[in-house]
Parts: sequence; structure tokens; C-alpha cells
Amino acid sequence: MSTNSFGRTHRMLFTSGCTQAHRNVGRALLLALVAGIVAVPSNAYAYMDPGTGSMIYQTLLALLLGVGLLFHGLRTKIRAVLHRLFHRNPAGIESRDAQSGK
Amino acid sequence: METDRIAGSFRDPAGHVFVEQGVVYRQINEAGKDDYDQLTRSGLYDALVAARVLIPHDDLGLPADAGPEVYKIIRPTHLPLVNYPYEWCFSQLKDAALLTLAAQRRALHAGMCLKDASAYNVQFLDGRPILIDTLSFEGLIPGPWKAYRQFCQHFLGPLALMSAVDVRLGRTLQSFIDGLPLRVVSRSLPRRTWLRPGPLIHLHLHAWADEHLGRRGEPGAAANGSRGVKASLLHSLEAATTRLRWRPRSSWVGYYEDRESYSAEAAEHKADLVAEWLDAIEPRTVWDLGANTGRYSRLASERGAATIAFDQDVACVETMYLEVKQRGDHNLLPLVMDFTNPSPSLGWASEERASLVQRGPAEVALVLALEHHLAFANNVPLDRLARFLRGIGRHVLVEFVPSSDPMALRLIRDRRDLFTGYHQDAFEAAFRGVFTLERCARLRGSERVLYWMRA
Repeated sequence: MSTNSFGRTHRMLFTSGCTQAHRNVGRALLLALVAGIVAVPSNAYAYMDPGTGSMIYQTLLALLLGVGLLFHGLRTKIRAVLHRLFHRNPAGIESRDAQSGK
Repeated sequence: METDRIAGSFRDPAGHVFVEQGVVYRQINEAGKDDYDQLTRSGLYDALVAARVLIPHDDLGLPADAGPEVYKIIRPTHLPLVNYPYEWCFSQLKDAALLTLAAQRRALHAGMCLKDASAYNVQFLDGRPILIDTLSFEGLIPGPWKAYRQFCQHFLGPLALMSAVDVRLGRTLQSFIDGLPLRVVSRSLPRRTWLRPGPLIHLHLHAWADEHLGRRGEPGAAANGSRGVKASLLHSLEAATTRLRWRPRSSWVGYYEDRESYSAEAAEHKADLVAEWLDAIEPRTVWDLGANTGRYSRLASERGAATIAFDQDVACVETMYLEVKQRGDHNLLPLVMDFTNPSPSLGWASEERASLVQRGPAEVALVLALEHHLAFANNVPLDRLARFLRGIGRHVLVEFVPSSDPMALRLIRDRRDLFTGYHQDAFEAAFRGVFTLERCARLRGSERVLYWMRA
């Protein structure tokens, strides 16, 4: 008798604060990943190291995760710019910059 | 001096573990020299030890009689009991997974990488998981993370099954000692898990790719990637692992609280006797068989004994583990163990993983309110039980539960004719052949009898 939970949201790839638009991008990337897997050319090898499939998959996965991180980085930058433009009190940002010596 | 190579330590050419006069050492070969030196010189070893991620060791240098392949001998901190992933509850496996990822994160920062992510590289020490394989670190090389699939097979797959299907599936790690095949995991998980990014990416699609791309591609196709790629994979694995949850619920948790079987007076008397006899024995190691939520195990751990609290119910072990974590009880380690089918010896030549009996005996075995379960539910004859316990503890504190006891009556119900030979005299006769009686006492307000016997 146990209760099970996998969590509720789609925040595994991109850190917290995802919007619906981000999730749609994530889904599109997943589709691209699946398409990438299917498109890998077929070679006839009698024997292959059992980990090879996993290694090739990881290379494809890297694309997805890399784009995800890039997207997350861009989002953070855009947010910071918008924050500076529309908020009168960017004290937090200034004080942080001051602390880091910028 | 007697030297024994640990049977499970043979896969890594960089070194192996051996025992000399009861002390465990790790030999580092010339093949592992560069990676070991990088580990120590980069400051990664100190950082990992300070963060309690990696087991500390003493560097003993090169012994005079060492062979040409030997670079160094190190002596890691002693572990009270080697334990295996199929003996862990959900949170123990999850904490071990997160520890492995934490080690990988720190390694990447230091320009190194974990070359394997085996759950057998993690042990529980002082109530917390710790990485014991000092030779798991290698210099960072371009390309994907070699241990990615192993991590999914040893950690993420079993955790997902335990979380989404049944927590007892953790025991399947006993059959698949190289980790659960991803195809097995993917086909066993419910369909809803295809909608969740962690299981979808790292288990379902990974399983599909593992099966199909291995035949289609070639190893060279995978040879690109960077530290950033490994870091983003790591980030995703951390999120996927953290998201997996399981909440313990079982009829055995709360057993002591909702007891109608015997009085609080008897339970208290039992605790007093156990405490008194433990004080007389002063053991360094105690195994509590059928510990439930560890009420009596804590009597031993509070007295400084390295105590293992075994129970076959994962919910009980989970409850104990979370409590141990919260209270910081360094002496108590809860483990899942079914005494009708204790851990066997496993792996190559049937000796890679030691059986429970091979890891014993403890100085004291607590066998409290367990004997009747084995005798009634598993039909174990009393003389066989006595012989088994002799291999488990040098002293045993065993509680005899008569067939008239309300809890025993529940177990035998309409099978009473099977147990006509089960009574106190027969119990004493069976144990007298194997043990020497030290003390015995009837528990107040009950028909149960507590014995202290010595092998």
C-alpha cells in the first residue's frame, strides 16, 4: 500500500519559472530529438558494445539539453533587461553588481 | 600475514580492495596512478572528503614487498557492515543517487569525471551515504558521460519503478546486479510516465535508443561533447531524481502504537531487560532482526553499538531511515531484509556480493517478536531457527511467543494442527543444543518469555 508521485510539472529540463510557451518549445525539442534518433543511419554491425546506443543517444540529448540551457540563459538576460527598463528601483541589481566589483 | 582480495573487487584495472588481519585496504596500480594523483593534487579529494561525499583514507605509500604493478596502498575508513542497494529503502537509494550526482558535479568543476556510477560504490556510514570507490575518478575526456546508462540502470530506473509501481521492486536489483535493464524499466512503468520529462528522456527514450542505436550507429559517432554537455545532463538527472517521491504507508508502521496484542507493561519490561542485558554484554555490533520502526534498535545505538535494524517491510525501513537522518543518529543503519529469504551471495563465482550470513555474526542479535513469524508463517522448525541464529549473533536476545498469544493466534488461525509441537519446552530444547542460556524472564502482563543466550 503505497502512494506514488512523480511530481506535477514539466520543470525537469529548464529550471523553475517555466511558462506555457517554454513548455511548448520543450515539447518541440523532444519531437526533434525523436526525429533525430530515427534519422540515424543504419549500419550492419555484427556486434556492438552494449553501451553504444546509450552513448549516441546522449549526444542527441546534449543538443536538446544544450538548447534548453541556452534558452534558459536568454530568458534570464531578457528578464534582467526588462527589469531595468520598467522598474524604477533596480537597487537589488546595482548592489549585487557592486558586491561583485562590476 | 593473511591477505585476502575482496571477491567483488576485480573489475577495475586501476586497483582493488583487499583485507589484511581484518583491516580493509585499497591497492592503487600504476594504471590508476595518473587519475589518483590528479584527484589528490587538484584538491578534489579534500573537497569531497570535507563535504562527506567520498570516504577518507590514509595514504600508506608503497610497501617494500610490493609488485611492479603497485603504485600505492591506501587505508579507507572502516565500514561496520557492507550493505547493498537491494537492501536499501526508497530514500536510501535516492540519497545514494543524489550523492553520486554531487560527486560528478564536484568532479566536473575540478576537471575530472566519474568513470562509473554503480550503486555498489555507495555505502552507508554514520547514517549517511558515502562514495567508497576512490578510483572512480578519472581525468575529464571529451565525449558523453560513460556512466550515464549505468546511473539510469542502478538508480533512476529502480527509483522510478519504486515510486510509480511498487516500492518492493527495489528488490529486483538483487536479480540484476548490473542494474535494471532500461527496456525492463520502460515496459514496466505506467503509461503516464511517458508524459513526464525525466522518465521520458532518461528511461523510455533512453531504453529505445539503447536497443536500436547500438545496432545502427558506431561508437565514433558519440565522440563529441564537452564539460558543458556533461553539466547539462547532470542538471537534468538531478532534477529527474529529485522529483521521484514515495510516501511510506504500511500496516507495520504504527505497529507499536496500535497494539492490542500485549500490554504497554510487557513492552516496557522487555525494553528494560534488553537495555540491562546490553549493558552487561557491551557489544560493539548489534543486529536487530525484524526491527519494525526501531524502538529496541535504538537501545543498542544509544549505547554506542554499531546497530543494524533489519525489517522486511520497506515502509518501516523508510520511516526509520528518515528518522535517523533527522536525528543524526550515527550508530543506526536500517536495512530491508526478509529473514525467510535473507540476501544470498551473488555475482561472479557467486562471491561478488556477500550473503548476510557471510557478513555476520554480530556480537548481539536481537530477535524480538520475530521467532513466531518464522515458525508459523514460514513453518521453520525451531532447531533450524536456532542453528541459523548461531551464525547471526554470538549472543542472542530472543523472545519466545507462545501459540496462545493473540498475535500468534492470528498467524496460525485454522492451521493449529500443524503446530502441536510448538511450545516453550520444545523451544528451550531446540536452543539448548546450540546456545548456552545466560538469563531468561517472563514479560510482565504477558505469556511471552525473553531469553539471553550465548553461542
